[in-house]
Amino acid sequence: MISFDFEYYRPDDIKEAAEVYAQLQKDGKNPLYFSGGTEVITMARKGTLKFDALIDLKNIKEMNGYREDEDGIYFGANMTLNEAAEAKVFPFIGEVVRTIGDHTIRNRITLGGNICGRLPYREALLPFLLYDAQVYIAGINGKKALPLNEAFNKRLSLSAGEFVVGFKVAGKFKNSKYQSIRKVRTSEIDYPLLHIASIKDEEGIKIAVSGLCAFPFRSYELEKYVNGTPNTVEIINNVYRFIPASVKEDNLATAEYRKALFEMSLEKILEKWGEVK
Amino acid sequence: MKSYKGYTQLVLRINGQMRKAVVSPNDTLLYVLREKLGLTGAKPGCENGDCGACTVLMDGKPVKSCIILAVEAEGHEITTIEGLKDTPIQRAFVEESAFQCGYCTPGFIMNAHAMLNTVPDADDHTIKEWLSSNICRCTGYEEIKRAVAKAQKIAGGV
Repeated sequence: MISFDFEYYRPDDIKEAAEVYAQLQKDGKNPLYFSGGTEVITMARKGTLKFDALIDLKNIKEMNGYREDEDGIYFGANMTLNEAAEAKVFPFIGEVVRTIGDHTIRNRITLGGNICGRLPYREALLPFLLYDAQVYIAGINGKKALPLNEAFNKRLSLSAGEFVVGFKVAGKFKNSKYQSIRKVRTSEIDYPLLHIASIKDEEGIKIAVSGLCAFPFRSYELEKYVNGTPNTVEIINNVYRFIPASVKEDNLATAEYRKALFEMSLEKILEKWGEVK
Repeated sequence: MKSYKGYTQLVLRINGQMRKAVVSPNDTLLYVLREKLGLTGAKPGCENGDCGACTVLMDGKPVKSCIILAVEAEGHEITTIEGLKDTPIQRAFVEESAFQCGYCTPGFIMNAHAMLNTVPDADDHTIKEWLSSNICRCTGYEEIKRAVAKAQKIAGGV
C-alpha cells in the first residue's frame, strides 16, 4: 500500500512523455518517469521516495524490444531483464542480468530502470559499460545519443525531464570473450557483495565492477595498468590506486571482507585470461 | 495518452472476464484483486516483491502483484489462482501434499503453472531458477519439487 496520492500518465510516444513531464513541472508538481516500477513502488511504499505523478513509459514502442542493424544491436530501455536474457544476441548481457533479483521479478525490472535506479548495484550496466554502448536519451528538446562511458559517472547524467530510451552495442563485440564473478552473502538471490564483469578483445582486458563501491564503475586507469603489468601480484598490490571511491562497508559486509573478495576474484579473472606469469 | 487522477473506474481482464473496480493510481494490483474484486487467492506477504505469495500471471508471465499498480494492469490478461481449474500442477500439489500452512501455495502454483506452459521440459536448473522466486516459510520445498516433477509428467513435458 502506497500511503500518498499521485497522478498516473501513460504516454504513447517520446514527445508526449517529455511534454507531460514539462507540463507537470510547470504546474509545480514533482513527476517521475517509471517503467518496471519495482524500485519505485517499493520505495514509495516505504516512504523513501515521494512524487506527485508517475509517467509510465511502457507504452512507448521505441523503448521496447531489440533490433539489429548495420551499426549494431539496439536494446530498448523497456526490455525486461528476462527479455534481455532470452534475446541471446549478447550472451554476456544475459549472463549478467540473470543474476539480478529473481526470475519473476525479472519479468518486471527493465534495463533502463535497473541502470537509472537508486540502488548502488545497477548490475545491468556492467556489460554495457564494457561494450562501450551508446545511450539514447530523450527529453523536451528531442533525442540524443551519447557514449555511455561519458554519460555515466556514479549515476547516469540526466537533466530534469530526460529519460533513457535505449542502448546500442556495436556488432564487433559479439565475438568478445567474457567472464564474470558474482559474490553474495548467503542466498543466491541477494544484492552482490561484489560483481566483477570482464571482457577481452583486441584492445585487451576490460573490467567493470559493482558492489565494491557505492556505485558501479569501469576504470580505464585500472584496465591500462592491468594490460601493461604482467605480474598479477603486483596488480593486486596496487589495485586500489585505480578504484574511484572508498570500498563500501554496510550490514552485508565489512570493507575488508569486500576487499578480500575483490582481490581473490580479480586474481581468478586475470588467471583465466592467461595473464598469470 | 491514458491518465488517472484520484478514484476512477478501471476495467481489468481477469481470469477471462472483464471486471470493473473503482481504483486510485496508488492502489497495487494485489490490493485491488483482494479488496475490490474479492479474489483473495493472491496473498500479501512481504509486499516488497521478495516472497512471491502474491504471484499472478500477466499475459501468461508470473509477476508479483504487490509491486504492480492496478492501473498498469489495464489492457493485460491477468490470471489468478481462482482462474486455474484442475490443472496438472494443482492436482500434483494435492497428490504430493506440497503444502503445510498453504499461505505460499497460490504463488508457487501460479509460478509453476507459468513455467510448465512456457518450458514444459524444464530441467532442474530451470525449475530452480523459476521457483526460487517464491519462499515457503514452512520449508516444504522437497514436496513442492516432487509436485512440479509430477505435474511435468501429467502434462507430458518429460
